[in-house]
Amino acid sequence: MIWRIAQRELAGNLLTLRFPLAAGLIVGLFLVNALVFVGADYRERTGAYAKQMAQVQERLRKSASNLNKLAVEGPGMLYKRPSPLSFAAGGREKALPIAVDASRRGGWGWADQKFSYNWTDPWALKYPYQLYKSNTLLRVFLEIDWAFIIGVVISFVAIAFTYDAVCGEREAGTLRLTLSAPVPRDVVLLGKWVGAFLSVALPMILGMALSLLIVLLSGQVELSAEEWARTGLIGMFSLVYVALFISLGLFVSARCRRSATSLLTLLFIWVVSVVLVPNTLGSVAAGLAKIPSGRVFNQQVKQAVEGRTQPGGLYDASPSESPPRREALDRWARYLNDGVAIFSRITDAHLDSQFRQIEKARMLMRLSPAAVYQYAAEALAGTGFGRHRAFIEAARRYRDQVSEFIKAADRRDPESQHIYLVKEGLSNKPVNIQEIPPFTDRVSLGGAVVQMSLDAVILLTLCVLFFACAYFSFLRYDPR
Amino acid sequence: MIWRIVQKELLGHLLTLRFALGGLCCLALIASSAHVLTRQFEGRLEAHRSAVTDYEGRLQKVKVYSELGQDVRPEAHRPPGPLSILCGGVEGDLGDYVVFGHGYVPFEAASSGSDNPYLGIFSSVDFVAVFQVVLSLLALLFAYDAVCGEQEDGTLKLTLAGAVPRSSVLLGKYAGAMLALSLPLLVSLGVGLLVATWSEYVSLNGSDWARVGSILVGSLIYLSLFYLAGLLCSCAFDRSASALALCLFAWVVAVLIYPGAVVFGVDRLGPTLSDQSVKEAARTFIQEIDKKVKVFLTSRGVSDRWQVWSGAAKSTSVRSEDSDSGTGETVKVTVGSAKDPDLKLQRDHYRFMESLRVEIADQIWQLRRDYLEGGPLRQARLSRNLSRLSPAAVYGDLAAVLAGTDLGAHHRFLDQARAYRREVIQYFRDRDAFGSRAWFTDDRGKADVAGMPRFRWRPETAGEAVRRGWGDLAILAGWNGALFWVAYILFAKRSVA
Repeated sequence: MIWRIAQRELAGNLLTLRFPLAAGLIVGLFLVNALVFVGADYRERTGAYAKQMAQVQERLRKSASNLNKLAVEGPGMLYKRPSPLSFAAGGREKALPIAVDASRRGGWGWADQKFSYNWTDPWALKYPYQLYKSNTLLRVFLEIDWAFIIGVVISFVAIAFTYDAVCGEREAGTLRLTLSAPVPRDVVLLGKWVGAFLSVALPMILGMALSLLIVLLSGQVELSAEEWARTGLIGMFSLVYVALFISLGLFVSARCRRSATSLLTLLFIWVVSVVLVPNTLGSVAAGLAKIPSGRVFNQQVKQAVEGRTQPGGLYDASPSESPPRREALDRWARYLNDGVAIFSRITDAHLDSQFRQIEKARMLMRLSPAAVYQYAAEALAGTGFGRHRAFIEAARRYRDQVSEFIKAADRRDPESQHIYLVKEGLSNKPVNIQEIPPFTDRVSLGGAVVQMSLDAVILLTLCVLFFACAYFSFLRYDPR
Repeated sequence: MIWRIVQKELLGHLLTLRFALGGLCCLALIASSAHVLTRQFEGRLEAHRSAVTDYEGRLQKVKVYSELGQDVRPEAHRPPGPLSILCGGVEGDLGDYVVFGHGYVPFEAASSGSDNPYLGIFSSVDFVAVFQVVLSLLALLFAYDAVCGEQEDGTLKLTLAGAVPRSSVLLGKYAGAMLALSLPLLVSLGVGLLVATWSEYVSLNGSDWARVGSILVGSLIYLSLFYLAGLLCSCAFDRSASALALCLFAWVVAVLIYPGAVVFGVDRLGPTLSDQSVKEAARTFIQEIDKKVKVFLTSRGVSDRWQVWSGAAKSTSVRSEDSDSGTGETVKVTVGSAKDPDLKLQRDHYRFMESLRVEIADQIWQLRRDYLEGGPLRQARLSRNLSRLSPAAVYGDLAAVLAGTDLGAHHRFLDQARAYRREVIQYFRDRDAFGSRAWFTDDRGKADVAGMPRFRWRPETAGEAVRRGWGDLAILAGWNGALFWVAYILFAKRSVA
């Protein structure tokens, strides 16, 4: 019986003007999405990434000629790997930095009558706001990815298909007829639900399949099993999101007497929660916390690093004397290590405070189901702010890993004085480039699922809640 | 008679749920965004002021002219415009101050107060964006059943049975709906401006008010366009449900998808831009300076730049930094007992070298300008022209032009900064600063920086802005005319039986 009602609903929807409009729009957008992705976007980004990685290797090869050089110069730029699933959720990657800088910070020298020593501040993690493409004159404020098509367009279509499902039938008088037959109300509602869900989900699945097909046929992307799982999960959550809006539409339709009122209420909810909330709350949250501006912060770092206490007798002897004096090496090691520690502490804290602000804003944005869905899709696609945070954390872990590696390699050299991190106190031997730990910034599927768990819970809860509301409203609906 | 119809329509709209919901939504959004954007404006103005004070403080400490070439380069600061609250445009993204030198022509601006660049992943909503989205939807909702809805109810037949020409009916409907639409527009704009001007940081002058007025006119024309589009649908369909479906889908495409999709497409599909060639050419130009200076010095019997000071100075310190775009160096000298107390050779040397720097910087700028014209600017223009198909994009661009926050206004700022650079160079030349003793030492009086001209940002007048927005205004007006005409024809031929 449910199936009969669903079939009738589906056929009814397919024959209206809104169905060809909606299906055309949805499929068209999915095609645009795939064509842009395979047209130039992904190839260019992977090309740029490969070039950057080659530069990194080249630089590393030069630094590896000498352990003490590597110890000062650091591993260089750490680049973020472009995600092959960015067609599903772009995550505003264009507005996020593409790299972390792990190279030395600048040169210094000192000379007077009794003393001269040119030194370099050793490497530390810096977080420059370096973006991918240089045309700042184009303000990209919208990405046609799956998350946009589904989050904004399909939620709209879902509303357009459900607003009159109950009250429209009441107006037309057919609801009375249906309910006069021996059909339980919950069956009627479920049938309507399934019918509306299918009329929205079918064009969506068709669009997704087309988009995926184009991407795969282009030969630019080969999806691993894990990436298939991610894509599958994105598809699953997209269905949950559609179900959420279908339930909401039925709920409102079953609360209203007239379909005009129902449509208006739904449009109002949709405009506010899908269009406006995700665009306003970010700047609202930005006003909540005060962070020192870039200029002020740079001065703070400079003051703290240059004004750090100097060990007594720092300028009595130069580490560059040969043979170097042990106490000079120790003093300079302490001085330089202090510099790195202070620099890293302030820089990390500054970045963390910026991140906290963004997290706060994202938390506030979760008021909108569209934002929740977008975050879930980004986490699964490995893009967006969550991925960037994971990337930064990976870079910080890598920082410790590299220092450990340098210390360990130095310990193996019997001629070295083992004084980290003065050039003259460390091994002078070349390093085997294969032994230097490589930087990996993959977020595992498990990590992605943990990242999106809150969003998944919110989506599922809302979905169940709206369906329950629709159910109880319909049970008590007066069909006259 | 028309007036009676207008009254009826107006009253009919004011009493509906859609009017109440739409109006409230608009009002609440404008009030809250006014609050947020005013706070942001205050922050930007604070940052601007402290950057200017900071710069003036550094200028006060300048002792020799050559510091202006490297250590304390001249700066041009543009204060944020209060109308960015109405329409933010690109003002916040593209920076508000420019650092240059006689050896460096500026081509981009930096930002004095961005606390958190990561906030760039969020977009923000200004007044114009709210009108663009909410009120255009309200206009469509007013229009979709104006004709076919009345026909379904049977009231249209009744109205037309009276001795009323159809044109009057249509005009009356239009006028009534526009009156009803202008109400939430005026009220929320008024409330928003009230919230904004409440802040002591925001003060609007006469020209600003003229701009606000022109934005208001532009908004009315924009809303009228959407009402007429809805009216056309209503005249074209028999059932109001079909008219509504078409209206809503057209709205989603024209307002929410198309404008963003164009920028997205141009950005992703356009060729990758790289200014690498400009940078390389600039590097060769800069090497030219060294070569020419060497030739000059050989003619004076000096073998090398570093020999210029031998025997004349107790100590010299040179701080220079080559960048891709230009060079500059700060020279500070403690003059010793020189053979020539006037230091003619040294002064000639700097006069020659620094004049050369000005020329080279101008040549590099030519290259850079060609690159900008052919690459980034062309893409920006392309995306703007393509997006003109959507009235919402035209309206957004128009409002940014009128508010003085568009790309054109940014380029006006950069142009003025470059003109200011010429003023500074002229100031140097007037007192022969390049060839003066104060270029490198203050032993006979320090450099006169207090008298150097300061940058003053001269915004467009309201009239100039309107002239620049003329094309967009004409497009919107053209749409209006065409839609009304088609709607009228459809309505005139419609059978109401």
